[in-house]
Amino acid sequence: MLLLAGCGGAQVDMQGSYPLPLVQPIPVHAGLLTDAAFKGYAHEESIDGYGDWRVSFGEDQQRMLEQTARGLFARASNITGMGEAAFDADLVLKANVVRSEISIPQQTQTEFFEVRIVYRIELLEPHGREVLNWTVSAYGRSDTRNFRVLGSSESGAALAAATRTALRDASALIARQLPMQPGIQTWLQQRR
Amino acid sequence: MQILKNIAMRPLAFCALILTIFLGGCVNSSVQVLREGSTGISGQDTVVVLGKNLQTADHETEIDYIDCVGRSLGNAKTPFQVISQETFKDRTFPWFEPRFAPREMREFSAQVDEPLLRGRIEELGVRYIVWIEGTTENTGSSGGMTCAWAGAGGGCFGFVSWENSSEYEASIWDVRENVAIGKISSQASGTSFMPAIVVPVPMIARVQANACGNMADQIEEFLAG
Repeated sequence: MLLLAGCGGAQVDMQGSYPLPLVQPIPVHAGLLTDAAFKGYAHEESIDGYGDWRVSFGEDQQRMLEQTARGLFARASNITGMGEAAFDADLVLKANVVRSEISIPQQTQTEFFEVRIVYRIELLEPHGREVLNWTVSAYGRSDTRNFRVLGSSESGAALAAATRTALRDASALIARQLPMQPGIQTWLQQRR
Repeated sequence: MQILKNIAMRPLAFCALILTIFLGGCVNSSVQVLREGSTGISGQDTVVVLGKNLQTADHETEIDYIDCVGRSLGNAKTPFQVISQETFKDRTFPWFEPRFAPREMREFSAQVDEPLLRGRIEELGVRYIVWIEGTTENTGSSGGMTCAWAGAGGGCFGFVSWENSSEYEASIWDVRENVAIGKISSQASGTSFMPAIVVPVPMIARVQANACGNMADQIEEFLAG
């Protein structure tokens, strides 16, 4: 994780690893489809009086999603597109970031940095028929009191921790709640 | 059967004065133990210390306090193993993430019906989960200090003091038997001083470290039965 911070704002480049979810795998081969915008995603925001904030978590959310898919499905692999590229898979899992938000302690009058990431998760058959279209709203926060150190990276470290918690929350939500969504349940029943 | 045990540790005034002058600030601490079930632990058993950090809580228990209690337990000459919070949460992911972590024993009992989670907890050998909540706060400060610098040198003059207070509670679950077996509460407060005659000399009351040591000692004693 690379941190740069000044008097206000911070630049954070997330580089973490994510655990494999401990859930009963869905018995299908899933192709994971994400685009360059997803893999290179960064939240940038200028907050009046508190500087410029940038947190790059595209690579981290790609790793998070790959781990989630590895735990959630019997088999998971990255694919490059729909159609022929997806024919090897039973289902295609497509993920996009709908929006992201950060809150700094000065805005919320709390001790916490907060990060919200909203994802659009789609499950599609290789030919394109939609099985599931689901919005996942992930949340993470970090208590600044855990990052009180001499030096200038305090805000960056706290923001990175909040982002990491939000990404873990996204993985947890997908792993626990995707199998319960009506769309996938109906599709699995029809497949039997 | 519930046994309520009070242990009060108050330093002698004279010792406190000497320590204050030569080593650091004073710390007063107390621990309460509430036992709701029997315990016992063997060399095969593992303990994990977790922070009860919910997404909605006003404050989070400090990560270094959780780590301190875990390390102190692990370093103690005890027969049991201690697994770190990070390793446990990764190995049981996503069951102990803030959104899904069980808040009460009955929620855990329902979760652990999931065979994968039960199997992982058994694989890790975890017998006891110790949930910790609470914080150390700065509860006040007084005094003042002035520092000045000139070409030939400088210095500070004054006296500053501040008080820290900590309050932590550990809830202990026996995950093999699926029962909550007790609670340990630890309170500590202390005043730190920084007199300055040319050079400031901080005398820090190690309130959180004291609360950590007391908590770890009591958990160890509690688990031993």
